[in-house]
Amino acid sequence: MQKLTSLMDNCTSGGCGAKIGAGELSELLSGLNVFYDENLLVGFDSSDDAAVYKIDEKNSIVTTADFFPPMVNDPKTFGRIAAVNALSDVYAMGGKPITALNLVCFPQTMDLSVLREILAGGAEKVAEASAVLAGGHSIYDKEPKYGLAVTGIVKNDSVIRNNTPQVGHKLILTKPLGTGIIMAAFRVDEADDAAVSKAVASMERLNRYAAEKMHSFDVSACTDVTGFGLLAHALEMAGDNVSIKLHAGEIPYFTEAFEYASDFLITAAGQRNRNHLHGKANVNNLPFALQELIFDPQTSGGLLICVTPEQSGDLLSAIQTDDPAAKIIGEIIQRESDVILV
Amino acid sequence: MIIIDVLGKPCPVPVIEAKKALAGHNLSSVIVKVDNIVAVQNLEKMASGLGYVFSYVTNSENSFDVTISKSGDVSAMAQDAESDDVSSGISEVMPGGENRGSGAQKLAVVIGSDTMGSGSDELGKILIKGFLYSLTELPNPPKYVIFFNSGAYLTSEGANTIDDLRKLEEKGSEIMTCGTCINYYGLQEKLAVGKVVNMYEITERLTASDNVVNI
Repeated sequence: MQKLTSLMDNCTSGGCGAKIGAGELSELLSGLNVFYDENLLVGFDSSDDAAVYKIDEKNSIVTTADFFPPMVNDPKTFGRIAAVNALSDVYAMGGKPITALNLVCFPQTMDLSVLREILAGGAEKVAEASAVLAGGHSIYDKEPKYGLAVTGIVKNDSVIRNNTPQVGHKLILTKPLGTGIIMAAFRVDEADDAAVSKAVASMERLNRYAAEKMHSFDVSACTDVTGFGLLAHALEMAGDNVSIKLHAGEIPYFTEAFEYASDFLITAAGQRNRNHLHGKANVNNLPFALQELIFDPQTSGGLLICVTPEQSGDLLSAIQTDDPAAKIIGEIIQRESDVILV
Repeated sequence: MIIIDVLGKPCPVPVIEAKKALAGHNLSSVIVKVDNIVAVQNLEKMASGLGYVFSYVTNSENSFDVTISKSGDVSAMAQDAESDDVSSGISEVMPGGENRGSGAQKLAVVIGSDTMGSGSDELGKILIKGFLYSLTELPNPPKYVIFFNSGAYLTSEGANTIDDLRKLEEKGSEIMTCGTCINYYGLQEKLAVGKVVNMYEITERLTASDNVVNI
């Protein structure tokens, strides 16, 4: 049997672009029984980033799992990105990761040294997160996939939900948008090396540093921007009670991604996200490329943090010391007919 | 015309292949065979962004034929192609006169008011209605009819111009209304014909046109 040499050879869509659409997912979940346990502080009924379970009067554990097919050819880079993406959900809940388990799907026909590199990349990021790799599970599969199941801890009064923003609070986005578009362009050989390097560096960047700064500020909500794109994650944040006003000119993005979107290097996942937002956000006044960016599925995207207006400048400055692309991109307003205003 | 078979190929491949074919060859139209509606929607965004005419036929849940044309003449092209022997990849199909129109001048008509001329509003409304009717009678209807400011009322529910605009749309004109204007006049739920565009798209269409008639 011929050995597969390139990681992306038989993958149809990589990274968070491979996610099942937000609309399909909520339809799917709405048919399932909601478990009730008074200690389950955050479950899947609220579309949050991770589950939070109270273990005693002071502490909760945060649990989450994330895995996907490769979006880059270098196995170690893929391992790093997948691990960073999985760890991110714990940070988005205000938690600190403590243990991680490898989740592996790997083709029988691929060289095992590739898998070793993937795992090495993942382990590197688990170490950077000061968590411990405690085991895992691996199976054969046609397409390679990798990720982590992560357990974190959080103080009960420090849990940060994704859907509790306060009117008047400002929104900070910590990483630029456009990784989905750049990696889609890369798949069809239309991306330049510099753009891919920037996107990879961003996807490999742990949200730990931004999250640690947020703990000393009055934050009302937080989520990480991943496969559903900025607008769908903002929509989840707004919930049923408030609207979100985004300042289009302030949204950070990779300039190459804007160029590629203008050239219609656009993704299926981005269009699914656009369909999901239909009727909830009017984006017609934005340039086409910027529309694509705010629907673009992000692999290992930044945190979207909701903070009091008084503290927003200080938190932004603190985050920018390590993540200079961070920007205040909008604010929470009273509910209007559109959930998201751009 | 060529047929591009990208069944089973993920986005952005269908869009890139279609765009390259339209730019690279001296073609007036392509048919793109795709297997999902999201790819159809992405092709539509490309077509509308570049000022091409877009239509598609649903063959089954997993098979769609999208026709993208530089001219306004897309009538039944996708259906015609069904009878052709389509193999995988890009295959040249005899143009058979389909290039008609590719050399035609692109005309944009820009309407910035719900009346025509200055003076009596009552008269102005009669005149604009007559003007839009006359456009439908032209042998080569305009490529774009763009509405802004109070012109937005002419594409909204209740306007006496809707039937003529629909007729223009059938003849291949793209009817577009400025989104900012729709919002300003509170007409968001009332658009009755054509689509909403932003200033960027309007500018793109106007600069891509050979002639612009400003009312």
